[in-house]
Amino acid sequence: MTTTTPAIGQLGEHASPAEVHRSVRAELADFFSTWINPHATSRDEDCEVIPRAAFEHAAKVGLLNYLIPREVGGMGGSRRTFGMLLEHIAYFCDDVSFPSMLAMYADVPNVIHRSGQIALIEEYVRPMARGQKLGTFAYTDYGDAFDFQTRVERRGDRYVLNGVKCLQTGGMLADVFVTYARDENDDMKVMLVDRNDPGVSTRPVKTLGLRSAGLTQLRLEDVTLPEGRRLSGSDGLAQAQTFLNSRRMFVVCPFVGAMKRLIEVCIRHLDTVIREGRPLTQAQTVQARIGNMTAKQVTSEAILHDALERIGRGEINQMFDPVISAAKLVITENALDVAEQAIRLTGWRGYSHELPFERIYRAFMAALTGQTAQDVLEIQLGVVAISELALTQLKEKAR
Amino acid sequence: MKFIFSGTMLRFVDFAPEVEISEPSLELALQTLVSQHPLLGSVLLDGEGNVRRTHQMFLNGELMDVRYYSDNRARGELAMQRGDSVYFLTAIAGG
Repeated sequence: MTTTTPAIGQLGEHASPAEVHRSVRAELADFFSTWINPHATSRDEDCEVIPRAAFEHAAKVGLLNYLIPREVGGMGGSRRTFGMLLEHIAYFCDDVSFPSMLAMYADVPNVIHRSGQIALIEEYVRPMARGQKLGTFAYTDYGDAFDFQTRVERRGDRYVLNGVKCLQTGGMLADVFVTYARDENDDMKVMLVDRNDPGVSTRPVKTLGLRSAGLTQLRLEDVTLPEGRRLSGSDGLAQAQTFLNSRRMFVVCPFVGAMKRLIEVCIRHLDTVIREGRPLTQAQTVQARIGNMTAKQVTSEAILHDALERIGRGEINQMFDPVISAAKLVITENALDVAEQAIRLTGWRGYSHELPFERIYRAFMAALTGQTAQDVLEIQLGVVAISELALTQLKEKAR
Repeated sequence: MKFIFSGTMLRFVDFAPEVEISEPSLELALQTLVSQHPLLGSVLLDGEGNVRRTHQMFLNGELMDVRYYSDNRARGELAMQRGDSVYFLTAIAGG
């Protein structure tokens, strides 16, 4: 029996995990092992951003433009399969920053496309489909969603933006920022800010992990934009929540593939460590810990695939989906635990740069605060669970 | 009828989980609600006076149709009776 390997851009909405794995291996494994993996440690040490050429390559193989509709130069792929692509990319790619940035750059064009503004689609979305322009999302502010410090003010037929947004994934390479600001009526507006607009500046932000992901702070000083740069109606908060809800899953997709790879690297290393005349992998205490790590990886994979299938079937709550949120919460905790156990098993080597575990551990930690902090997610999941019971009681009472 | 609040919305109604209002329609009840709790106005309603989609609205435990968010006439025609409840489920996530 022969198995075919579809091109990445041709992977359909029902592609199996095995098909996705084969496609990534066929089209990207060599690229990662030549261009990304050898420099993963030094990039982390130097806080050096993954080169833009990596994303141009991702566009050539139908990956960067996978989610963009066909009519504007994309592959029209499904979010369910894209999530699986991110998972398997992280298995082959030693730098978690790459799939993290990719997830952002691949998703932002759709926000612009959904505005329906032809001029913006021509100027940004089509070049993004070719990998010639990159966009990121500037939502997080120095206040909560009802108290954003970044303001947008209407002056005649123009909008004027002032404020500071932090953090943006991939901001160092981004040409454009989908930016959220509060207007004079406390409505949240979504504005498209170009890096070249007067008054726009970015600076790199040093973080614990994901140091090659080009994280930035975006500063806006009297940035004046025409009406045509407004992406939302009067309810930008709902637009933001819809985007964030859907994107939350993409943050942890790479973690599942990275965990699988990490366990394999850990086992290979432990096989070479001889204690009391035999490899550490033959010690039952080590086997039990590897077993525990594997259980967490396999469970995460099952949770991830269930959530992705729900996304594929359109069975999610657009504003706040408990399944997606619970998946992000649990996969993040599992990933941190797996990486920590790898460090415990490998001693000083695991704690140092000699092995990749401490770097991957720091990358996983980004999800403690990113794409909704874990503690906030727990609060929201609790609110939803309590509300659902209250709503059931109200329904029964009304009958 | 009464409005019931959850999560982050509570701070805009002085942490009162339920607010009783006596008005004949949903639209009038909402207007009275935001006049009693001015801080709630811009959080619950957008600049055009429509209910923000971020707050999921349930009438007597049933998710309300999308038209009740964006159409003030539909809200005006929706009669509110004694014992009715409108529940706002609000879960705001971060970036």
